[in-house]
Amino acid sequence: MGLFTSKKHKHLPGFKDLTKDAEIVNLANSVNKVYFPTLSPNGKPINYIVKENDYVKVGTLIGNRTDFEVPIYSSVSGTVLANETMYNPQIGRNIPYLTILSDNLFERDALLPIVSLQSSKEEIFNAIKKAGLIGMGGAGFPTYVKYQNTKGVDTLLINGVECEPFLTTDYVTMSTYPTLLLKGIELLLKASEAKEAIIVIKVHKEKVKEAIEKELPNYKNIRIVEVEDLYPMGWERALIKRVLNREYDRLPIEASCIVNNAQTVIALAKTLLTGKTLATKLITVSGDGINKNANVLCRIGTLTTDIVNALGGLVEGDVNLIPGGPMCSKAVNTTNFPILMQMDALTILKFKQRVASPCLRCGACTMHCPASLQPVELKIAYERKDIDRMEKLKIMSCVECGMCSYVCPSSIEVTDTIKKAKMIYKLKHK
Amino acid sequence: MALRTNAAPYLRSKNSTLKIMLTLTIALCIVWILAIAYSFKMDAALKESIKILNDEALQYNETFKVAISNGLKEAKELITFKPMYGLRTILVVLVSLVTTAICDILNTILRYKKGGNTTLFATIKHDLVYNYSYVTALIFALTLPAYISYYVVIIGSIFATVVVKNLFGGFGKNIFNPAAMARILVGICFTSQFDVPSMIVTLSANASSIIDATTGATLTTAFNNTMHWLGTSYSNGTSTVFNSIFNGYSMLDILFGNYLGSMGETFTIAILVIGIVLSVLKVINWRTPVFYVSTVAITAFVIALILGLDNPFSFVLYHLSLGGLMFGAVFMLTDPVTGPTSSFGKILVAIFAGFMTMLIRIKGSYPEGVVYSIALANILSCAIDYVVVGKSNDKLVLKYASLAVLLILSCITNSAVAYKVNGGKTIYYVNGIDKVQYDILSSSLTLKENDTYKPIENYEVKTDKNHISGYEYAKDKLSFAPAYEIVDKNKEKVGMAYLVSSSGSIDISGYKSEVTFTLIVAISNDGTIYGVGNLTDLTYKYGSVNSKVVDYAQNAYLGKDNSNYLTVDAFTSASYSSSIIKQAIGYAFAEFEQGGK
Repeated sequence: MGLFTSKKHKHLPGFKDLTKDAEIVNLANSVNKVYFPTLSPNGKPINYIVKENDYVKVGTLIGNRTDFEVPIYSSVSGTVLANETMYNPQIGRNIPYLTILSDNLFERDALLPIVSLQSSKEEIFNAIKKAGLIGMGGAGFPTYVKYQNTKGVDTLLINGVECEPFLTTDYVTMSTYPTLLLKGIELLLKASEAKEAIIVIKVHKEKVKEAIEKELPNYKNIRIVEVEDLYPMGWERALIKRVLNREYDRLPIEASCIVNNAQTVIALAKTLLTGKTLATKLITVSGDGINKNANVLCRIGTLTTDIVNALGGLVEGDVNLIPGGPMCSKAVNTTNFPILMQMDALTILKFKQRVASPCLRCGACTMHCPASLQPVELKIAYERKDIDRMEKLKIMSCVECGMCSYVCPSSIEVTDTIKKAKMIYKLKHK
Repeated sequence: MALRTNAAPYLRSKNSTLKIMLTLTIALCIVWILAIAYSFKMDAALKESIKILNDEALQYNETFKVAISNGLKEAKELITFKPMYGLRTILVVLVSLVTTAICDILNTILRYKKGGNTTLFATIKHDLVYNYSYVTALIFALTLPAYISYYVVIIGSIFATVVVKNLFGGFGKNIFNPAAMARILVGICFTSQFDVPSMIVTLSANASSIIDATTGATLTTAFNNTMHWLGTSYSNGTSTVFNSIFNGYSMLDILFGNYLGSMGETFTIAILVIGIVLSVLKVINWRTPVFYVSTVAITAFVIALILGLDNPFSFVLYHLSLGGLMFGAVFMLTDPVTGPTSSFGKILVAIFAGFMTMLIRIKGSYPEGVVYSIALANILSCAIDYVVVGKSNDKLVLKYASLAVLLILSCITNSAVAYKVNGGKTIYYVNGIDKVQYDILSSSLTLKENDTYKPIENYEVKTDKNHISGYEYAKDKLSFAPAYEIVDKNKEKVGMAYLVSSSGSIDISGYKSEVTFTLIVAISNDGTIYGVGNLTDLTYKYGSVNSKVVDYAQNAYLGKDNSNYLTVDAFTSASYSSSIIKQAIGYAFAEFEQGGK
């Protein structure tokens, strides 16, 4: 923290103990229907090649995204039904879903070609592309795109920071599958031709650290870096600045590195080494709004209602159901939506009435903004609908991390206001 | 059960504006309590003084009557006076609190719209808590002295709440710091209300040093009015100025608030500690007070260097501890509502305020440099917020450079102004010698124009007492203090000054008293005696011995006829003191002959 620059991060209460050592609830062996969205997170349509009444198996190619070359594989075996319309938390409205009625046999379709360390760079890249994986940290950026052009990449950052409160899926997955993680990293090192891979975890994650360190001597060019328990340390930009002390303008590749989520690497290793496509997903279901807190293993496309019911339902009274962590994601008004591949949590919190008081102009938001913006000034610019000033204040650098609302002593919805400001700014600059 | 879709994020820090304001209120209450303690201490001292007067009236009835006719007018009033400043310190703040509360209630009633969700009573209750006028009231009241009239407090409080705060839309919308503006208003409109009441001035002659008021002005006002916050100049014949202002106050007294002034502003050390605690608790942003105080300190230091003051550090300390600077830095300038939001803006405004504080102190005619500079900083805040765009880590070089430029500008401008105000004269600002010595040096050294003196460090008495012939002196009673070298404008030695002190009892028209007698003897190179010192009494303080006493002493020493001077002053006719003077001068002269040349 400099004299004028913001602190950029803050320690938040983690609530990780609620689920990190709890027994995993396995819902992957029994599911009624699974749903696949017909739109990508960015709103582009997905081309489904199966029709109503087609029979599919686990791993059957059912469609392709139109924006990126990402194949979609079925997560169950069963019959394709007519499209159903329901809510999509990523797009924020109701969309049609490809619906598959599961026969609960989970029969596997033909496996994908297997690669090993002896495979060439191109073979590994093609396998990554074919695996159809997207980033599991939440944004859902297709993994293969990062490895399309790896010129100049010297470092691979494996992001296991998991800085959002409540979330423990990275923690559980990393401590359960250290071998897969390291093997996946080796494959990615080859694919990227990077010199070194750094696994970044938070301090005091002894279980993860021990599990990885036990295996680490067998692998070259991989090391662990522990970072402080601060939010948003897991944000790519913050991570690269903290670990490598590099800064970039738009994409991490400008700083000669690639950042991958740890769960993505593990899923990738599983798919690449066994040929089995990803069909299940570990979800943290946590918070004081649900009767049981646990990590849930479920099929991709499982309905949230089923998961909530399996954990004893929601508590009495008003709650916020958040598909994701409590800082970045927006609460929804229905449980009727499926688990998507990039989702890693459902946070359910008791609703708290907050009454905003007048802005104190204390500058706490400016002091803490990870993107070094001035949220309070952006808020004033929004209230005046001053687009020019929004531009000057670099509104589009906002990542909506929620820090400004978190620190605001007057309970003002700063983040929400800036989201609205971004919307009107985008409309004016189309 | 319902799923709510209010705005993200769903975790919030436990910090709240109410919590911040309540912490600030507690901090202000601590300052208030310290002020109450000081006022009660002052009351006790004044009562002691009244008691002494009473006792004397009984014991030395005749003498006391003489004393009354000499200066203690309204003696009856003095003897029956009941000091109530402890109680007043409580009441002034309460009056301010009640006034702001009434203003807030009226404001809520006028703005209340029927048919809303809340009842009028609930709205009033909410506004009383969440308009935070009690913070304004506390800050404003603590910038006033305890002896101020209540109507001044009421007018100031109404102005702060109604005009500066509520007319702009209440808490969070005001452009100016309400307390600072109210203080400026009453400071301009009711200037005489800030003078120390004559009762305290008179009684302080007998009281202990905590109320050593020798003039009607407070320390701050006097420092401003007579010296423009600069050092003292001996060369223009006003050598007693600095001494008369700081008469009896050591640096510790000033740092610990042991002097008369505004209730909350004086206890610099306590406010500093509170400021540090508030910064650690994140109630205030440390940048504002640190940069404000540093700017004042650096500027004062540069001024001290440019004017060639003997002790620049104590000059800086005077600037930091007087005039409510620390109070303004911790409680007023840090008001987030009226300051910029960005860290850079906060620092810029703090440096600007420090710049203005020094400029107003040196050149302005009002002593309240701090509140004026805060008002000016408030004006600038909006403009700074408008200019500071982009990311906070952009253009760092430019930001550091602009702060440095502003700070340098402050030093240069203020030094130039100070040099001009002072008329280019050298200022002698002596510290480190004891108060009585200072008293005598500054009041009795009758130097030629442009002459000055400098203390000789580690001076040892060289006189071989047996060597002195022709003079009888009281060997046990006389003691030697440091000697001083007198230098002229070319820095050449023109003579020596010696400090000799003694104690004994004197008898003035039947009024006996223990006295401490301290004498300064200045002897030029050719042996001419220039000056002699004064007499301090345990009970009464007489003014400096006038020049005729010097002549008297000189005559006594030279064996000339002194009959012309016998009526000069009551005590000069006392046989004891005249012999002491004679002996002392002789002693000093012997010392001069021995080692001074």
